Amino acid sequence: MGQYILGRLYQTVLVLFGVSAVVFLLLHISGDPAVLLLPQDATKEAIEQFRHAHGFDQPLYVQFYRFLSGAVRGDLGNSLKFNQPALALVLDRFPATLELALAALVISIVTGIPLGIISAMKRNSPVDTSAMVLSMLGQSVPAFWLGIMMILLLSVKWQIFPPFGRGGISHLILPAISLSTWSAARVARLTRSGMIDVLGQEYIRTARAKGLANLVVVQRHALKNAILPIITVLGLDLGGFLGGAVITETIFAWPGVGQLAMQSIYSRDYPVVQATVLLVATGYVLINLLVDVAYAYLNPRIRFG
Amino acid sequence: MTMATSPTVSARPSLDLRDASRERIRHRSARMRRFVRTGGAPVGLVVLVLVVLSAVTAPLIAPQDPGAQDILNRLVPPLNDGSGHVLGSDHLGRDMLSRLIYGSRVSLIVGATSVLIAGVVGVLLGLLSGYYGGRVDSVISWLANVQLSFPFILLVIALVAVVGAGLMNVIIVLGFASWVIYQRVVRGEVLAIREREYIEAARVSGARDGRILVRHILPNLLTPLIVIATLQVAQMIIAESALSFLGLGVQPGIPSWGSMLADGRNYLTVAWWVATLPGLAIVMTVLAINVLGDWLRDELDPRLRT
Repeated sequence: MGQYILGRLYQTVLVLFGVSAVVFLLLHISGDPAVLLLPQDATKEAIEQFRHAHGFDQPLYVQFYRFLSGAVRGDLGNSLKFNQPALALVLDRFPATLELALAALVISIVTGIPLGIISAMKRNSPVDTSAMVLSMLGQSVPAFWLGIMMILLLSVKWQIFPPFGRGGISHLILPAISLSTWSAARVARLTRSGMIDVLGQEYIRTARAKGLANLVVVQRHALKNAILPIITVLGLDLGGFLGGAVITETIFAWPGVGQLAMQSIYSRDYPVVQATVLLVATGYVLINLLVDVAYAYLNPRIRFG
Repeated sequence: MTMATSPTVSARPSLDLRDASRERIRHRSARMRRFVRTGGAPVGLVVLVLVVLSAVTAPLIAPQDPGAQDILNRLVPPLNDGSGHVLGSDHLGRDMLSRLIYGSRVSLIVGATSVLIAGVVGVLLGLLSGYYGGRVDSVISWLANVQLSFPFILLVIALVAVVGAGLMNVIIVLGFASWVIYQRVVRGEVLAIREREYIEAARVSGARDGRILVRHILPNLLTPLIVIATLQVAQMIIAESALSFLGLGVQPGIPSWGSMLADGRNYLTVAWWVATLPGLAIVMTVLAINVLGDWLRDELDPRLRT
């Protein structure tokens, strides 16, 4: 187990190194970062001066070394628009995004898993069919359109929920639903197929033959094994929510990291874009690490393997 | 070799052939029955064919020029009489139906070509990492892990923001941001196939690595690849519409479902159809592809079932 965790840690460090390289190169893909960062009507002299002042005239590896040593110390440059440390701006917005992502995760779990279980237990019944049609639909609806439609019906027309902004629970519901739909649908499908797999196995038949009630068999024996792989998926989805919130936050004017990212893209404030991408990706990597370790702990085949 | 001496085979070759073809027909009609029984798959196929047809024949079937502005008939609701806009018009008086028809082009082109790029890159890297293993595999798998550390949509948005919007850029970014899924599948399959006897036989008989990869290994991978590619087309269509919605998609002049949706968002309270109809077009197309992809997977490669 310790060996496994050490291995995963080593891997994580390597991946984070690659992630920072990608984020660093983001500014260099289009050629000259100075041109990208300055206003479009900047003079040649201004560009040259900026290039020199920010070290963009140095060799790429020197720049990367600087970027990396800055990143390790939490210095990702200053926002061009607000003239504040980019990282601080992003961290400021992080709680809002985390709140939204966690709400979406809860919705995924409490809708997807029961739907999948019921579908598996009532296989090929009308309940199963409608649940699967619903989840197929859920995986085909773009989150941003669903968000807009919910605003149109539930906020504008029937005025049940506020259309945008952050506040109490009522503000949270629409964006969280819009963010979680795709994941909830996938969780439902995965739970169903996992349960069907497990329910067909010998030990379940044995449990049934012992005379255990159906519910006990499902709860105590089947669910535990079917749910394990879904934990991994949910971990990936939580990370995905952090990034996917870009669109949802834009639609619902949710003051999180995603909205900041879009605003920074529109105002060409690339240090903030870099900080956002780096922070979200790092969060994603760390969540995956935690999930893998938890998975290994819960799964005896890895724990003792 | 025992087959050749078997009297039944040598005595009635023609009958056997007929049996085989009958067997094949029975097999095919069973598949046909399963196809129809899924309910969704035939409907999905019809919808997809219609979308493809409308994309191909857009100039012929669109009632109006998708860019033509009819200032006197702005924000006309659908199914009204007299204005000549069957599905209504947008804030510039442009015909919704014509724009929806033309919009299918962007979705399908981006969906198909970005999947092609991702597929080629992913398959190539997957073949390399699976076949050669060792350091090649370590580097490619590291790249894949790095790629997977970025939530897809965030990475795509950031990349397009830097390289600039436009059809070509969107296709390239989507293609290069989604190769990992193919690499993973191909790598796994190659690892399993690599040690089989017929590969060993090909190697012993002097076949070069390239030939073994292309002639002996790749054909075995086609089934899972077709299934994944189909489902990925749906994902790419959604991603493109998201980019266009955010103003990071195709050029403003070209009608795309995502940018139509973005236009409609500003008129949500007065003209519901401008945002609703392109969204429905996306959902229908993506749903059709997803249903077909699911059917393909169940039919061709049940192992991939999720």
